[in-house]
Amino acid sequence: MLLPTLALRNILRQRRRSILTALSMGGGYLLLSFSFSLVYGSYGNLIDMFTQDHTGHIQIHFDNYLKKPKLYKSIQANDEVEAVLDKHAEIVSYAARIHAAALAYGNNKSAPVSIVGIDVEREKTTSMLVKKVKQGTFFSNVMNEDGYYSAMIGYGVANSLRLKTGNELVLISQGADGSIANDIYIVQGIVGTMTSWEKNRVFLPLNAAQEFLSMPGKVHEYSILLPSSDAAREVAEDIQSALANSGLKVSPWQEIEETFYKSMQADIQGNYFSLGIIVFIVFIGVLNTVVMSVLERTREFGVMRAIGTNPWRITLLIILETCTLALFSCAIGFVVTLPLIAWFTFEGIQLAQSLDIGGIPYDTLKGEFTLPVFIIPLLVIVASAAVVSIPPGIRAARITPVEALGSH
Amino acid sequence: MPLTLVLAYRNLFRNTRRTVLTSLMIGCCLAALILTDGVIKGMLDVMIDSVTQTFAGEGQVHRKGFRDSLDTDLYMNNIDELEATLKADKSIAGYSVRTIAGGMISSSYHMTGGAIYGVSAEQEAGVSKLKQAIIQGSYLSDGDAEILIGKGMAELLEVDLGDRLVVTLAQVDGGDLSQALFRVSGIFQFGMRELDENVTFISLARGRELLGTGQGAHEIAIRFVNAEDAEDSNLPIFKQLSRNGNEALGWLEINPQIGAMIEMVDYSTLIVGLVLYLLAALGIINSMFMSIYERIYEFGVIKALGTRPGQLIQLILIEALLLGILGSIIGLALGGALTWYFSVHGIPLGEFEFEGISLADKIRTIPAVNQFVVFPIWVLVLTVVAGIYPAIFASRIVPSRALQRAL
Amino acid sequence: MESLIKTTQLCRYFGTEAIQVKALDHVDLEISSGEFTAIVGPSGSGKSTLLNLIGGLDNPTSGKVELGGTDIAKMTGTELSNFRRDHIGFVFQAYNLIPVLSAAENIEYVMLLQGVAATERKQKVEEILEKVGMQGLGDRRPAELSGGQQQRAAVARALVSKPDIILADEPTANLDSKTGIGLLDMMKQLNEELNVTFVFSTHDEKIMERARRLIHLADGEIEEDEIR
Ligand SMILES: Nc1ncnc2c1ncn2[C@@H]1O[C@H](COP(=O)(O)OP(=O)(O)OP(=O)(O)O)[C@@H](O)[C@H]1O
Ligand SMILES: [Mg+2]
Repeated sequence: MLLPTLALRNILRQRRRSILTALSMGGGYLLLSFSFSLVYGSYGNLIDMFTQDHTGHIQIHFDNYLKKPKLYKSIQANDEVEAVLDKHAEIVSYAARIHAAALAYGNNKSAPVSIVGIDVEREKTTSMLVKKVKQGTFFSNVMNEDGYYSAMIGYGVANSLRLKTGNELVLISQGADGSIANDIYIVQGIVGTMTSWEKNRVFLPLNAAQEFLSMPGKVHEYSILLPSSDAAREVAEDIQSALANSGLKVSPWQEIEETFYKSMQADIQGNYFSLGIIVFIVFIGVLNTVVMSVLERTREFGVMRAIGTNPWRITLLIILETCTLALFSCAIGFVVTLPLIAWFTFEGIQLAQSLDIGGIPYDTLKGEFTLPVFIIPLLVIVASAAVVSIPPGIRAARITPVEALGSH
Repeated sequence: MPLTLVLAYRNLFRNTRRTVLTSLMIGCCLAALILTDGVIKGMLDVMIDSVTQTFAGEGQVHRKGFRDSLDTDLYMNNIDELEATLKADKSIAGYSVRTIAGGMISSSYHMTGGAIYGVSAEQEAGVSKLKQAIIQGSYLSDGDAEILIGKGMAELLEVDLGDRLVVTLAQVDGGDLSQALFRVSGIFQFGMRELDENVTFISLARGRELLGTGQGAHEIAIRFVNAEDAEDSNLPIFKQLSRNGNEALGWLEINPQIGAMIEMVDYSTLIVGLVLYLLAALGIINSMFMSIYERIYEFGVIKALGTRPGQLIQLILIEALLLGILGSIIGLALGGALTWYFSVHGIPLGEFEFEGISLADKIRTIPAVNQFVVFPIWVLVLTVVAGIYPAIFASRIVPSRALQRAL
Repeated sequence: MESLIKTTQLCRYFGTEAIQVKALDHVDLEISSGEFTAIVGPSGSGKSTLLNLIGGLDNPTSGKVELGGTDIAKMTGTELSNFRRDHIGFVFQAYNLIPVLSAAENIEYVMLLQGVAATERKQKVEEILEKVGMQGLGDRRPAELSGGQQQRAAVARALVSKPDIILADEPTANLDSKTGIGLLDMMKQLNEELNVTFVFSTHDEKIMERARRLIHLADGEIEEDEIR
């Protein structure tokens, strides 16, 4: 306990200097931990939003449908795929979908839309669609007595075609066989808002969409929901190996929203870079203090050496002093950061204007309240303190008793 | 006074190592700030450029309500009048009359939805980068069967130059669906996903004919001689054009998210600046205290000789100012070198897409006067402010105690 | 008596060839165990240099120093550190103590370096504080002690590791003559009681009187070796 005691007392000896140095290291800790929390919290929140909202954590497509969506790149909906999915313990839910572009026509107006054919029952547990019905009701997959299927339309479609529930909607597209597809549907529900994903989409029951596109029994996509986004990559690999040789491609959300994922990575990296610069500046200041303190104490180190202290112990003492101070700083930083992060985690800030990052609307600043958010900055600060104190520490150890005693 | 200056200067260089480290720290803060500002300016520039210079123009005229609903019925009838107004105004560099409608575009095997723009070849070339964005085939020549499509859409539809495309859209004012056959005459790539996948261009005459708007059109995109003009929403020309149920707006109002972003970016520069200044201030205070402690005996002596506290404060503040000047010089040199380097070579950001605009290219920093004038002035103000606390401390030193402590 | 310290043709020069200062010039000296020796001479005569060389704090330009028969030039850094720790005690003119440790802790520090057990340490600290006449002052930090008390604590610290020899470079220079004499009497008493060898430097006549052997230095050479 000798060195720690000495280190502690030396810190307390220069109280003002220690406090000023601790303030800058504590500020560094606050900045690191706060921005870690905010970056990971906000992105985590965002990822949860779109995965749970509509993409799911994993999607299965035929070949490169994800990159180059073509009508014919479809999956024969069969028991084999579903059996694999049913068997996997980590899958919460999954749903099949079919996609196509179409021209929607109603009230003498037209608008390009995206058709999404959905499995009426499974979709309810896989995406948030059922919660987003703003007018009317969630549809069923049966025809009405006049022989029309029902459809749900996004808010944007309803707005530009001036459609209300109960109105007729004409969809025009091209079937998989090249024929003109053309049918009437009854609007049963209006979903989402002007800014949501559903804006320009028209939802049809899966069977109705398959009929419309002349693709009986085919789907384009399985969307799979997991308990959280963390395991998506591994589960996707699992499923992929179970579906080897099927020509199917299993993609985790990182690939589904690739542009977003890459933008996020770039943003996080940029963030690391700026934090790195700030930590660098903090530790120029710390280096300054440690060097000064060593110079001031030349005589003291000389005496310590003269009475038989090993040089490496003196280096260790300097490192220990700086690290102890760094630990204190982090403790102070922690006390300030904790409520801040807690507030951001449990309340968060809604941005007035949402920003589009790689196709995903970024609209909430949210914190993350996890151990790494507090521990990693601590390690960074203490490790930097240790590194910065090594050169002055070695310098202190090199002080020879004679030159030290000669000074003054 | 000059003697105080000489004294301050000599004191500063008594401990060169400390002075160098402290001013290095101040310099790094200033350099980081200059660089941050340069990067942000560079990013905004790319974004604003993408928004205004690529396609949308710096200002636009529409019928009121069209921007929200994209309802094709909301077209402007008095195009001639508007064109005359635009031609008469010296601040306008060019404009392009456009019809806009959502429709279905199908090739032999595929189809997709998209926006069909009817534009005049000559006018459009004076406003957007469409002509420069052609990567295959040729630009428009106001021919009837011409259609330009984006690279993304060409891949989606699996079509090449010369292939047939059928465009289906609804006519205005309750008209029927109309269909027309085109041949792909050119493929463009703006590098913006939204445009490259969803937009097609045909001739203005054909657009009007297909939609049945007569001599009407949906949009006039405007380019100004001075791009900044468009940021002023009270511009007279906007007032003149906003008559008869039309509205003319600058790009800032058309893209409020960019405005919001500029605000947010200003805000974050402010935060970064505050953090950096705070760090620098702590460093300065610490350094000043170390130098005061070293000289405490000296202060005791000169106070015993009858130096007034105010004179001591002055001395310390001048030392702080000198430290700030030194730091600013380092910061200006370092920040200048970095901004200059990155303005030539660019900073690779990784693949970043913001507001649908790909910033995948390297961001070139933009040097600005305020970075090299206003920021350093703030640094000087800051160093002097940071010096106040140590200065007051020094002025309160009690000679008897200082002399004792030195032993 | 067997000699504890032996220097042979010991030289220490400073500066360049052109302006060379011969701080010590061919000094042959033997000091036996149990001696109470003062090195005296005018300022600049080489007293500190000689003590530093004997203590292994400095390296000679030529010649050698033997302590108990060992040539200290042959030791490595760590060996020398440990040798100092175990065989030599130092007392300097001032600022002897580690400022953040109390008097007792300063004494304990050396034992900690030697790895002495805690209970033994406590007991020895008490003992030694009493021997130097500082009972009850152990808890004070150096800043709270007078110069004389600080020097006593420094002697106590030098003494505690049971060194063969204690080297003291002008231990009384910062003290008034009465306190200085008190310190020296205490040292002499310890020398008699515990048979510890003391070698100290001084230029104070009153202090010199108390030494049993006086080595007079002048310009780096031994001018006179006086045994009384
Ligand atoms: N590091 C050094 N560099 C150059 N010369 C030195 C150095 N140390 C000592 N000397 C010189 O060596 C000579 C002897 O110095 P030393 O310190 O041994 O004298 P001293 O007898 O202890 O004097 P005092 O009584 O003033 O302490 C002096 O002339 C001194 O100037
Ligand atoms: Mg001396």
